[in-house]
Amino acid sequence: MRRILKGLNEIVGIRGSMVVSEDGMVISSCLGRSLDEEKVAAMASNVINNTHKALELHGLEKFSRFTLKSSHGKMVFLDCGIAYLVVVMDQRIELGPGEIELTSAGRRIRNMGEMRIG
Amino acid sequence: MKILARFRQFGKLKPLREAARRTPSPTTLGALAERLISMGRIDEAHQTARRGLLQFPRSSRLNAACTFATKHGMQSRIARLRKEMEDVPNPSVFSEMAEIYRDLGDDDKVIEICEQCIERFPLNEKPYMISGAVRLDRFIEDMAAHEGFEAEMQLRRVVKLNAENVEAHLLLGKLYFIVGAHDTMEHHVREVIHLAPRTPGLEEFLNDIPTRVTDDGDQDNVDIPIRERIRSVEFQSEFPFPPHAFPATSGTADLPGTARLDMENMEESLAEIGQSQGVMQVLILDRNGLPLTDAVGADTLTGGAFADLMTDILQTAQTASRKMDVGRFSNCTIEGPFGGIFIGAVKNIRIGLKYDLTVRTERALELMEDFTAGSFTTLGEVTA
Repeated sequence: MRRILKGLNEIVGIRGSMVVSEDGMVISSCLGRSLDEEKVAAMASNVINNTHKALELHGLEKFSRFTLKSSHGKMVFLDCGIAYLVVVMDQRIELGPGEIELTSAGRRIRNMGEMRIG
Repeated sequence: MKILARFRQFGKLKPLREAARRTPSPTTLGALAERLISMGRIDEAHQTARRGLLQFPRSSRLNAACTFATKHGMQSRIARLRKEMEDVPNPSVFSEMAEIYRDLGDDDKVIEICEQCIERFPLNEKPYMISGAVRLDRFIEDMAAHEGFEAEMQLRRVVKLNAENVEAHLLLGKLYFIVGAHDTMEHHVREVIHLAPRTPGLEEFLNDIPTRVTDDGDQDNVDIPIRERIRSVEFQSEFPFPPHAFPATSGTADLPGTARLDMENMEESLAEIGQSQGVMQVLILDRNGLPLTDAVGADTLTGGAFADLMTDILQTAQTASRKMDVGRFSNCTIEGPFGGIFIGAVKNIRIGLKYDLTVRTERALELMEDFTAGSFTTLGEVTA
């Protein structure tokens, strides 16, 4: 799993990535120097849980992908079945070229989870 | 063959040009600029993007195209400077590189270059000045306390190295004004008046301050530390005194915190979006979460329920942005079996769009960018 994250981080503009469970437990991480693992995990857990609660309250299913854009950065939260792939990147990176890698990483992590359960 | 290839390219361009001419919008102009870039016609792309930005200054798509084209034009200059930085590093080269990236709007890169310069030349005021100015702009734009702290620290370092740096005194004056530290602000503004007596508007501004303070009922309590004032801006999400009220400075961050809504145009655009295939719900809220418009769309969620959903998600997203230090929240999209939800924040307005699975997220983003561009007139102090 770490190899998948490392490969993802090679895309220009990606500051770091992490696989985290819904309750904030870090399953694997590969973060740049500017990112703190505990902080990212706590933030991710907060976003995932609060968003799911809000959606559920209004009769909507859980999200498969959450993309958050701010003035100096972007974050993507991707449901991989057993856990969530969290990617932090520069604001300037357009996800076009990296989108394939991101989706592919999410799919590979999901497959890993299904193999373990199987 | 060459002629044929050129003919084919022209053919691909024609519909895009037509669309941009007939219905100019961030989407049509952005698509044209991007196609021109892909064809290597950078100058034309640059012109198209710049023309578009005159009409739609907030368009991220047009800004990205413009930046790309500008950067492309500066490649040789950047390469030369990079080589100089390696071979003969000196503060001027670093400063020139930082200014280029400032023009390109890449603030992260500006700060990185300034830090490199400071490491090598800690007694040179230039990198602190550039970095301090960038941090102040970011503080005004994002209201993030750490940007304010950095801005103050850098600019104070400049005046420590050179007590006669007028620009640093001016920017410090602006910083202290917007957080309400008027005694400290006055000290720096008087320094500017002393060093550069011809700077317009400053004396009048200082004479006006007591009136402004009295009208607001807000006394400059000198006992409140600056750091606490700066922190308070982040907590309150507003400045006690608006940045644009401070004279004699320039910069894109001088935009007031509110924007004038073109309500008539907005309602018309909303109705149009609401009729688009796959759009379930469109709603505009003010900064307090209260609807500014009626919900448009045929979704099962009522307008009130959608407003609540928007507010909950917005709160979560804004907290995440702050904690991760990625600046001010701009927008988010949530995709799932229900389709998708877009929530955007533009100055004091919150925009929500819910769409079904027949709509691609990229299309939803285009709709929202066009809508935002068309719904705001030139910035002013008036709210909706």
